[in-house]
Amino acid sequence: MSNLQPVDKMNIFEDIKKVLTSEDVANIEATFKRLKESKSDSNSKIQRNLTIVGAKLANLESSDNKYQVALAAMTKAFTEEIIKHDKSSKHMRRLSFIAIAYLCDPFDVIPDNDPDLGYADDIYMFFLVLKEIKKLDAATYKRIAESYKKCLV
Amino acid sequence: MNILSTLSQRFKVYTYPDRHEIPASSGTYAWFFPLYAFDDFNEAQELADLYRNVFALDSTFSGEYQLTEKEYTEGRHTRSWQTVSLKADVTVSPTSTLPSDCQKIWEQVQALPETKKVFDQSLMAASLFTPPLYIGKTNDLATRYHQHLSDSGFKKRFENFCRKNKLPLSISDLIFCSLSLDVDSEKLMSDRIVDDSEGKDMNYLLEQILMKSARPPFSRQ
Repeated sequence: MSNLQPVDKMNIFEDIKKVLTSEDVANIEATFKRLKESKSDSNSKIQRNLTIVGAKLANLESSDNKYQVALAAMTKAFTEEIIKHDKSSKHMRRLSFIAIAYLCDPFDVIPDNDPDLGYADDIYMFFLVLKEIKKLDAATYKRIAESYKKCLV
Repeated sequence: MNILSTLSQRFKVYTYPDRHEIPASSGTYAWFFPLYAFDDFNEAQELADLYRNVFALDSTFSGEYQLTEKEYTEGRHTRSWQTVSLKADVTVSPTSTLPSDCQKIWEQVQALPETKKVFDQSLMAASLFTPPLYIGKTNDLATRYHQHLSDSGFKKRFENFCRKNKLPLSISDLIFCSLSLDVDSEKLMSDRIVDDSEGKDMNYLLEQILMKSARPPFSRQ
């Protein structure tokens, strides 16, 4: 039997919920909603942010911060299980791009230069995306969760 | 010794993941802007304009700025914040438009993953041939790197610029280059040679000369 935790029980997400204020949460949720709606300016921003994803991933992997390390693992898991996966739908890919592009933006809801909380909002954005993926396709969600754990090791 | 012939061994390039390899020794350093071929541009001109904006900043001026090019008028060419009076027989190219054949090449480059990858890498490598954003001289390169990363006027100025221009870059995305002489020479550079100079050394002198002559866009003059 699988010992996978549901999305809202993953430790890193529990951690994040404790440190984010209700205002932060509302802002991140509003940003997620806005990014989901296809608008040309947000598409362009997503595209621009995704240009630097390779460098961003290298930066995160070299970090000692647990949030940044978790984000590197999440990015890899999304890339492997959705973006590179042949059977992923366009919508699933777009959701993944939203989370990864948000991660690449240093001037998001909590700017990344905040040493303690700078990446907490990025994790919450992944949480929102994962929650939506779980609703759409439990099997993909499971694959991401497994891949995430492997990438963390 | 011809110092120029030994530069290739003395010149080091670091990015954020290699930051732990920056030595805690004396040296000259410069920050360079990484030339990403951002994927949201359909036209090569847009990318060229974006980079023109980065390097057009003039650190000797403060306050708000906007890069606009005005029409050439006789004897006078105005570029937003800089006004230069000229008395010369010159031809001024009023715009920074790329040659018309560039767009076709750009489209071909974008069309194929292999050409795009090679072009992106060449552009990124060429970052070191752009004017540095900031130049300095320090007794401890590693410490200075981390100072700039955590809290510095340079960081604030650069990140404000990126925010304003919607660039997804922060100071940790920049390229840090260092250049050191041999240990003894670097030691001499950081020795106090003037009694009443408040601890200022030859490093300070060199840094000031570099800043005033090269006018790196994000150094405070």
